Amino acid sequence: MRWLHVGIKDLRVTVRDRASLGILIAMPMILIVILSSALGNLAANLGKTPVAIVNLDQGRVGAQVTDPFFTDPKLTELFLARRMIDPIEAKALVAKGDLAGALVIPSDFSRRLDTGRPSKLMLFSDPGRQISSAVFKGVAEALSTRVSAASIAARTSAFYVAPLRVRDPGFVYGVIGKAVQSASDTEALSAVELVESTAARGAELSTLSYYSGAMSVMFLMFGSMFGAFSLVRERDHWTLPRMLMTPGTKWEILGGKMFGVFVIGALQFAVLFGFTSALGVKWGDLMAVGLVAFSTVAAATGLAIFIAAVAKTVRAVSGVSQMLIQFMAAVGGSFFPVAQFPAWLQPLHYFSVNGWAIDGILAAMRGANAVDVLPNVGALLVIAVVFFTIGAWRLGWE
Amino acid sequence: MRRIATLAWLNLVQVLKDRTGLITLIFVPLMLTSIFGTVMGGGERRIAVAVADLDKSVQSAEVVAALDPRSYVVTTTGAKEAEAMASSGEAAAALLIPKGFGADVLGGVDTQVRLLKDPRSQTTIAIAEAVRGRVQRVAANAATIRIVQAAFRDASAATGAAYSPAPPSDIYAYADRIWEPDPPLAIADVAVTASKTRGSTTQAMGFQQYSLGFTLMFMLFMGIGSAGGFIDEREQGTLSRLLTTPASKAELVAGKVLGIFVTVMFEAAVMIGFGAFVFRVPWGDDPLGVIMIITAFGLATTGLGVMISTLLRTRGQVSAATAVFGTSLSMLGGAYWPLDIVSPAMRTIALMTPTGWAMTGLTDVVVRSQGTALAVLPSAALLGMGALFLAIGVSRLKLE
Amino acid sequence: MSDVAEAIVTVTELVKRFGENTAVDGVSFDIREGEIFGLLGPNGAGKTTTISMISCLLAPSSGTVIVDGASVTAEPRKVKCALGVVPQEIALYPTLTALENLMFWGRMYGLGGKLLEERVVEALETAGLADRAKERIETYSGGMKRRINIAAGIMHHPRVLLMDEPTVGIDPQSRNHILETVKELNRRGMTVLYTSHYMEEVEFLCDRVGIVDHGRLIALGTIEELKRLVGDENVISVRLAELPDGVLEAIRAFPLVDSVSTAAAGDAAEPKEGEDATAPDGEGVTIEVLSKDSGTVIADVVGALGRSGARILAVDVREPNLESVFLHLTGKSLRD
Repeated sequence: MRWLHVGIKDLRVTVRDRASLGILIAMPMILIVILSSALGNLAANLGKTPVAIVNLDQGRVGAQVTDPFFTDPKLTELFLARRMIDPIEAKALVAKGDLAGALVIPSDFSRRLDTGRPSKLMLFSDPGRQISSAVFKGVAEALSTRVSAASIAARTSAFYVAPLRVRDPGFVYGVIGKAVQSASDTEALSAVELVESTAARGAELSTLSYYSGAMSVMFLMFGSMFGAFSLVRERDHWTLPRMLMTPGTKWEILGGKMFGVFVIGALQFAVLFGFTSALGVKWGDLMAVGLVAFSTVAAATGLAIFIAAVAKTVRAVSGVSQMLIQFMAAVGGSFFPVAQFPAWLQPLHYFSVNGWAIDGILAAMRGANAVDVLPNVGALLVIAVVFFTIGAWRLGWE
Repeated sequence: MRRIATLAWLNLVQVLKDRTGLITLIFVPLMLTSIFGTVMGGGERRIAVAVADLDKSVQSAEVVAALDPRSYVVTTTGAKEAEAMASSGEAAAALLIPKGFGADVLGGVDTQVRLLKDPRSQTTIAIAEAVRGRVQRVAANAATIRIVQAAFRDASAATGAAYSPAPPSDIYAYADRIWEPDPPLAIADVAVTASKTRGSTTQAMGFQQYSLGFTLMFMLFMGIGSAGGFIDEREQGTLSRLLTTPASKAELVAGKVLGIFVTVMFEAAVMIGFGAFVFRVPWGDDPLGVIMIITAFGLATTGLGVMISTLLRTRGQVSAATAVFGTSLSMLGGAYWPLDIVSPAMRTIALMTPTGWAMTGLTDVVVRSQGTALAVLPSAALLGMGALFLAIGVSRLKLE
Repeated sequence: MSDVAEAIVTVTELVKRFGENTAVDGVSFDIREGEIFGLLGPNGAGKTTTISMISCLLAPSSGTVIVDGASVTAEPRKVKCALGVVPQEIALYPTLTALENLMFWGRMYGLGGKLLEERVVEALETAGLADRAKERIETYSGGMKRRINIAAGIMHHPRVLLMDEPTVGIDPQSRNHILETVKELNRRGMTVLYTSHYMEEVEFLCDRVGIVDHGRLIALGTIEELKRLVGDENVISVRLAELPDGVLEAIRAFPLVDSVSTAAAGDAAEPKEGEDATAPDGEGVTIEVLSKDSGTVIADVVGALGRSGARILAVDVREPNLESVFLHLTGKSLRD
């Protein structure tokens, strides 16, 4: 049972190192708090997007486009709209970033519409606020489509009814009026609906969930680095060679070390899991998540042994681990989703512990079960075994 | 003064001699910049969409036409295949138009078009927007058909004659023509920058966010990580020896700080230069503003690194701290996601971090092209923070 | 009944090469059960490397080591069970207490339960630190650390205890304590291999001594046997304020003088034989004259020195010690 005693001893030493322990366990929690404060409830957090409405229209139609920003509860919830009279001033405010966008209705808007000439509304948007301005643009486009629809309905009706030569002189106007009314009805455009859903089984992930998963994986990786340092420090203190002189085998010692690092990793993950769940992140099938987490910790500890064996000094350990972890994090999707990568670059994420782990965690969040994530678990365990074996083989004391 | 330079030089030489350190210094940023550069640079990439048009009518074709070949790569396939492509991530989304779509539209029957999105993709919003616009157009045309038919009924009622309306397809075609080349009303979206206006796409803006944020994050990691250098010296005992030389404590610290600063700036230069020139990552047109902010940020992270090194004892702790501080400051400061989407409270907190100031400044200068003048305040704030960190660090520095 | 005890450790033609460098070059000796065997030599002579090979830490490039009937290459586990090791480094966990350290190391040697507790208590008593067992090692002085370092190697009652420079860098009280401890352990039946570059310790403790230099065993035997290598010579040791030119040659020329050399008074590097040596720090220069008839020669030496104008600070006639043996064999001082 030597390995167990080695592991217990390691845990004892780790616990005595209060600073590192705090960093390993408490800090991730702080990060998750930041995450949730920033991203937790997007709609609530959006606050009201400040926008300007500049209605120079001398007719009535302009109001049709602009009024909803002040009257429709769905829009007033999203936007803090103000009326302005000078488009140049509005544009300047957008340029400064004080406004997310400004919508300008030209003075001849209604007139052009009545005479069947197409119009364009200028929408100035702040490139520094992509999301808010995109929402603004979406709303403006929906409103403008309604106006277009009304206009087109009117013209088409007029076109078809005119040749009928109905005696009643007000008839055509009546038709046009009715057309505009019908087409402006909020339900008018619902005949054809766009239904959005997700292709894969399960829900779309919020940014919060994505980063919770990605961050948890990253912290497990750093836990492994911590394990590597403990091994190198043992070398420096000469306790590693001393252990090698006792009647145990190298494997028992390494096994104990793995155990120690493993316990820390499991503890970290449990804390992260509990904390993020309390903040509303849905991790999905517990078995799947547990398996992925377990194999991630295994892979990370294997990595730790490998780094400790390859790097000779504490400084080198630091350098090598930074390199490896940054690389893996980058290609694995810790910074932003792999889906963004060009197709030829995506396969790289198979070489990354982060890649497999995040992929598995996200799959679980989206509804995958334990069987679905077996490939990820398998890959991680393979990585664990490979690194551990190379590291153990190369590990000497000199 | 010369002593400071000597100390800084010593630092540099040590770094250069340390092979793994050198690799980290040069290779890692190059590699990461390359990865992110290919992802982000050189203009937009076309988004892959799988389309299963089971109807092949005029109306369905119109919806499909929403996917402009300049921005989208359309793969026409069957329903099952399209869904599979979206599931696997091969396509960002699958557009499914059911059989009978056109007939339903013309016949006044409610119908729908399905967009299956790859949940991992961030570009599905853009796709949905594009498709929705077309769908609304088709819906508008469908409504027009009803309206015209109602008008015919009204005409019949008014005159007593039985008028048969034109075939729906004719009405549809007529209405549809009015949408081209310019619909009665359209929105012209203009991204406003102070010096010039540019067309905007959701993609290009998104990439800019990442390239700025990522550079800052990496500089932060470098700055905090190099705090380890102080600890190394302490452990090696060379620090005490340095103290016995005529160099004053201030000179020692200055030399070390200079060394760290040079390292951080070197990183930044490599990443920004490489990224901008080789991968055409969009860094804007105002190099002076960018240089100001990046330099000030470099100083701030150096100060932060020094301060942190005085709070910790071992290299292991430094590594953990690098991860934690680097990531959290990046998150808080808007390097990971735009501050746009966070609450006002978080936006205030962001301005308490160096990353927050740097991101805000860079956004104004690079993204909004507001000119060098707007780099001044953020740079000053960053310098202030850097000075504060350095002061705390130096006062706490135990050199024994 | 044989008059020589059985060899419990047998080292035969042991060689260790590190790349171009040969650290141990064909060393052979055996250690008899119950004795304290010393390995004496300057830093870098290969003592630690030799011990590392005996303790199975390093694999020999060639040669064999048999410990208690088991070969280090074939049956390392058996060897490790029979050995206790006290390394030159303080191989303990600084943030753990002495008690925690000992419990851990005891377990590493397979002890457990009540037996482990007893042995730990015993080891703490031997180290004389039972009352400070619950304090962290990092709070200990250098001497105390070394004592626990020893305690950690004896709990499993090994047959042979390997001690590598166990008194380096500690205060005289702790050092004496350790030397007494070693004697006591030996009295209780433990065989000890003791390496050091401090001649006084080796003379005090060891039954037999092997002298190593540059990876080779240059002498082996009891202390008496080694001293006799120097012959029936005595050492006339004269401490001078400074060494005038030519006086060494003059003394060497005397017929009854076997050899003359200088040794610096402190641990500073010494100049080569015959060269001028100026006194470092006012301690003076010591010349050692080896002669079989020291009684007669001493007058000539003092006379020669007086004529040269040297100022004599002290004169001593003594039997050769191991330092002299080493000097005689290598021309160098043990203290480099």
